[in-house]
Amino acid sequence: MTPILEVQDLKKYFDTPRGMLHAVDGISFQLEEGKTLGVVGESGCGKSTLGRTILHLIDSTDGKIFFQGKDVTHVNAAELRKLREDMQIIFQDPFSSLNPRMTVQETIQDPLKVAKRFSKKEIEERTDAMMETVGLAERLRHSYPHELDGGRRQRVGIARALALEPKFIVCDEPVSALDVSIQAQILNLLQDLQESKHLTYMFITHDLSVVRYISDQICVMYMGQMVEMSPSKELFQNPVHPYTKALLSAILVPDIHAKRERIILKGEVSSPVEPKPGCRFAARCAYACEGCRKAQKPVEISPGHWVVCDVVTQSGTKPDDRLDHTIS
Amino acid sequence: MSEKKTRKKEGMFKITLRRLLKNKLATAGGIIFLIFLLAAIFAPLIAPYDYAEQDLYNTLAGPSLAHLCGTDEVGRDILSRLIYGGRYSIRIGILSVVLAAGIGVPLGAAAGFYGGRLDNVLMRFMDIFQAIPNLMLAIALSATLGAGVNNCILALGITSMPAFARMTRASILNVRGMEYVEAARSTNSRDFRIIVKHVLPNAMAPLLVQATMGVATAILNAASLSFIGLGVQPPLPEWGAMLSTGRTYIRDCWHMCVFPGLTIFLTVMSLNLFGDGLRDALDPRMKN
Repeated sequence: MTPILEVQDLKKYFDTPRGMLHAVDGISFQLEEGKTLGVVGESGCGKSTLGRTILHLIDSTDGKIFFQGKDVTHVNAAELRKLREDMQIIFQDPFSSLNPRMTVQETIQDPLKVAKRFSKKEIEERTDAMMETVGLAERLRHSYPHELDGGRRQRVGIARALALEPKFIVCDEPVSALDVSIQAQILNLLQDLQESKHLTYMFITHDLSVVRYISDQICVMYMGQMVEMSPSKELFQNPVHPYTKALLSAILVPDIHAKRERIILKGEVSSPVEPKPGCRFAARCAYACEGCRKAQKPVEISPGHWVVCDVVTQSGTKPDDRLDHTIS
Repeated sequence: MSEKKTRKKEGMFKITLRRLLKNKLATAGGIIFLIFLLAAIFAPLIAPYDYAEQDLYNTLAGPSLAHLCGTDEVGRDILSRLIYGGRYSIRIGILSVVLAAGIGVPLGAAAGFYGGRLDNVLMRFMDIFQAIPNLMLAIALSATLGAGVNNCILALGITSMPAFARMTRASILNVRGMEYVEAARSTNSRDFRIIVKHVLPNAMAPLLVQATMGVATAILNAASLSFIGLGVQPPLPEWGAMLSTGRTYIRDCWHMCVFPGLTIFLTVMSLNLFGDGLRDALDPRMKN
C-alpha cells in the first residue's frame, strides 16, 4: 500500500541576521492513509514548521514531499490550489485562529466560497452538515467567536478545516490551549472524524499523554531533527534514544506513591542557528561521545522503529546501566 | 428553516444601526453633522441673506436679530456665509479624506501585508512626503495646480495620504500574523481576498478615528490655504477663511472668530463622536 504522505529528508532553513536557522533538518517519514502520526518535541523544536512546510504554507528549503504518490514538493499555483483542498490544518489557539469579525457560519463557509464551485444551496447544506458533524448547535450559527468557549471555537476551526473534505489534516497542538475536560471532547471528536471520514492526521503536540492516546506512530523531534520514530506502543514500552527516555520520564503518573525514575536533563538547549554537525542532543546527553559529533543516520532497530543515535545502535546494548538519573 | 436564516441575515446591518442608535453620543454626533450637511445643501433656502451681499453701512456689527451672528468687515451676514460655507468646507474635508484614504489605505495595506522590499520602497516614499511639512507641501501643490476648491481637495488629500498609509500598515502588521490569516491562506484564499475580508476589517478601528480627525485637519488646512489665497477664492465663503479674516479683528469683534470657530468645532466633534460610535458598532466584540 502506498503511503498517502511521504516526506524525504525535508529541510527548512530560515535566514536570520545571526545566520541560517535550521528549523527542520532532514526529516523523513511515511504515513499511511487513515493513520495518525504524532510529532512530539519541546517548544521550538520545529514541529509546527514541519507541519506548515508540508502544507506549503512555508516553502521548503530542500527535500521532497509526496502526496498520494505524487511529488508535490514544487507545485504551480493551480496544483497548489488543488493540493490545499486535500490538506488542511487545525490550529492551536482557537482565539486567534478565528476571524473575530466573522460569524460561525461565515467562517465555515469561507473555504467553500473561495472554491467557487458550490451553489448557494450546496454551501448552505454543507454548512449544516459540518456544524452537525463537529457538534455545533444550530443556534450558534450566527454567533461570533468571542461568544463561544474554547471548545466550541475549536469545533468551528475543525469544521472550517473539514469543509472542503480534505484527506490529510495537520493538527497543530489542537488541544493544548483547552481545559482538560474539553481536550478529551475534542480528541474524541477528532478520532470519530478520522474513522467516519477516513482522515489521516499529523498530530503535533508536546503533550505525551495526548500523543499516546491518539497516535499510531510517533516521531520524536529535537531541534529540527528526528531522534526516534516508532509505532506508538513500541515507543512507550521500549524507548531507545536518550532524549526520548528523558521525555517519557516526564509524564505524570496519577499515583503519588508510584516510584518514578525521572531523568533530569542538564545543560541548555543549544542554538538552532548554524548548528554543529552531528547529534544536537549531544550537548545534554549523558552518553555523548566523540562519535556523536558526526552526522548520523537513522537505523531501524525493529520493524518500524527508527533511531538516530550511534551510541545506541552501534554498541547494540541499551545504555540503561550507564544511565545517570536522579530518583525523584 | 431557510426563512429563519434570511431573516437573521437581514438583521446584520440593522444590528450595527441599532447599536449606533443606542450610543447617544454617536447619535447626537450623527444628527449634528446631518443638520450641517442639510443646511449646506439647502443653503439658498435657509440662509437669510446672500453670502456675497454687502452692507457697507453695517460692517463689523455684533449679533442682533437682523444678523444673528453679526456681520463681517464688509457687512456680509456671517450666519449666511457659514451656511453657504458648509458647501465648501464639508466638501473639502470629506473629499480630501476620501482621496487620502483611497490612496493611502491600499498602499499601506500592500506594504504591511507583503513586507520586505515593497514595504521598504513604499515607506521610504512616504518618508519623502512626510519630511516636508504638511502645509508646506499643500501650499506647493496648490500653487502648482492653481487655486480653487477641487485643487485644494487634491492638495490636501495628497498631503494627508502618508498618514493613512502608515496607520494602515501599522495595524495590518498586527493582524497579519494571526492564525486566521494563515487559515484563509490554507483554504486557498487569494491575497486580495485575505486583505479585504480578513485583514482590513480587523485593522479598521484606528483608521476610522484617523479619518474623522482627518476631516477636521483638512478643514483647518483648507483655511490656511484660503488665507494665503490658494484655497477657496473670495467672495466664496469658507469656514477656515472666515476664521482667518476674523483673526485680524479679534480684539474688537469677537463674533467674527467665535462663530466660524464654533462651526468648525461642532462639525469636527460631531464627526469624531460619530466615528467613535461607528467603530464600536462595527466591532462584534462590543456588548449589544
